[in-house]
Amino acid sequence: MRKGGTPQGRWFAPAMIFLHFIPLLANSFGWIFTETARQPWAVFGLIKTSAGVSQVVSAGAVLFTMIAFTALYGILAFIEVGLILKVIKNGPTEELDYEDPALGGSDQQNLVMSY
Amino acid sequence: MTFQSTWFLLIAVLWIGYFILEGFDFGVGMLLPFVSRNEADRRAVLTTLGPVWDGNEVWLLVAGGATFAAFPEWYATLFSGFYLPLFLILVSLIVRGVAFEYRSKYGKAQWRQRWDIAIFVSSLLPALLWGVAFANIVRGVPLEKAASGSIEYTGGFFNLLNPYALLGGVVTLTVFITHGAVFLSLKTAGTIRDRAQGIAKLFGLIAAIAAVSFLLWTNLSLPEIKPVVLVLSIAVALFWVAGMAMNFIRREGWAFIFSALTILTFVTTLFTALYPRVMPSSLGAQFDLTITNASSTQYTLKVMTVVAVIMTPIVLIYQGWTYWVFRKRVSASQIAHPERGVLDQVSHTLQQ
Repeated sequence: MRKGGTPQGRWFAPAMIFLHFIPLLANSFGWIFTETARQPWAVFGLIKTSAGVSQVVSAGAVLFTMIAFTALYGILAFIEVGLILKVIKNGPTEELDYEDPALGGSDQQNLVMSY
Repeated sequence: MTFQSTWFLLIAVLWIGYFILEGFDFGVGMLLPFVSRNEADRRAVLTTLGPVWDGNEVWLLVAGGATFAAFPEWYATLFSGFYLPLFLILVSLIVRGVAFEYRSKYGKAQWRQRWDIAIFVSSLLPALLWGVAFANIVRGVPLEKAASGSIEYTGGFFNLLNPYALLGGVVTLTVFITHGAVFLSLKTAGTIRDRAQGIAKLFGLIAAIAAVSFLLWTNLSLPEIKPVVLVLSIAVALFWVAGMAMNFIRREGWAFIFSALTILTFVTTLFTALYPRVMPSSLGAQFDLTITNASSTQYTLKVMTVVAVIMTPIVLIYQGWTYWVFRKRVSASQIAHPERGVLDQVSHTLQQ
């Protein structure tokens, strides 16, 4: 990559793919470490987790919301991975010149960022 | 003014800002199927919201965060007591955010239809539930001193769906629809603008009826008539009438300003009726949460005030800048390829 070359080794492509997951793993392991290692304290040395429990919220309500959030985020993760794979499959794209009709734009001041 | 009163005021300001800004977000989301006839229309409507919806939602986070830091007992009682309704609001907000962003990514009509339904439902639920929640807070809910010494909510889920609260929900729902319609008539051009203006006329009237009834009920149910609350309630009605008039004569900027002022005055009325309590108890004034018994320590409030004074102008400036950058009107004719998904951009390099 210095002097304009491209990496030649066979190890490069698999490593590049794996590297994408490292921040995810680092983040997850960091949180798991923090949240488990500080038990039984909620605020270390001052407040225990058991003292922080809401009296009013029943165990059933907590379980229900926990299942619901896990299901919701699971579904959203599934959809997101699907979209990411779609982007990967589509390949690299170029910025469309929205002012140039020959390249697919029109002369009508089209929106660059359309939702 | 004490730190407690200052932070009560600041939290009120944050909720006012939230309802003014996310109010039209909810309104536009609910109106999406009704102002659009085709895909280009729908894209244009979503584009009016696109740059700003995220920044608007941030006001909610800050309002909740400020409540947590300045009045932790209020935060604890409110968020634990209203756990399931807040859960519904939260799920709606999550789904709404994802729906805005993912909807146009894929080119298939079925994909878009499903996300459009998600946008509609998840804009409607919070618009209704926020009114229900705030009406309950103002009216007073069963709060009792628990064995641990803290004041806890002892009603159930359905206790929160009493007539006064449901009327409050209808008020926020119809006001947000009108506010959203006024926003659309301000930010779009062409047929969407006309349809939005028509919807604003209709829902302006419905919201007026709901709001007047609700404010009348609020004023009459206070232990004694508070003149400030009465004056503010009248101001709400006047601003709303002015807004409807401006909308009628198609002065859209002024219509938006007046509907925003209405929301401002309405939330101010609620918080003024509340002061100096933060969560009245319907079981007796000895169980009320007030700005004194629910607050943090002086040190905490002092630090928070310093940070808020420094950071708030910066935040307001850059949020205002976003609105300035995206100030032009959007029309459906500006959407180049409505049927094509955003991820299906034509690839020029691969074509060659």
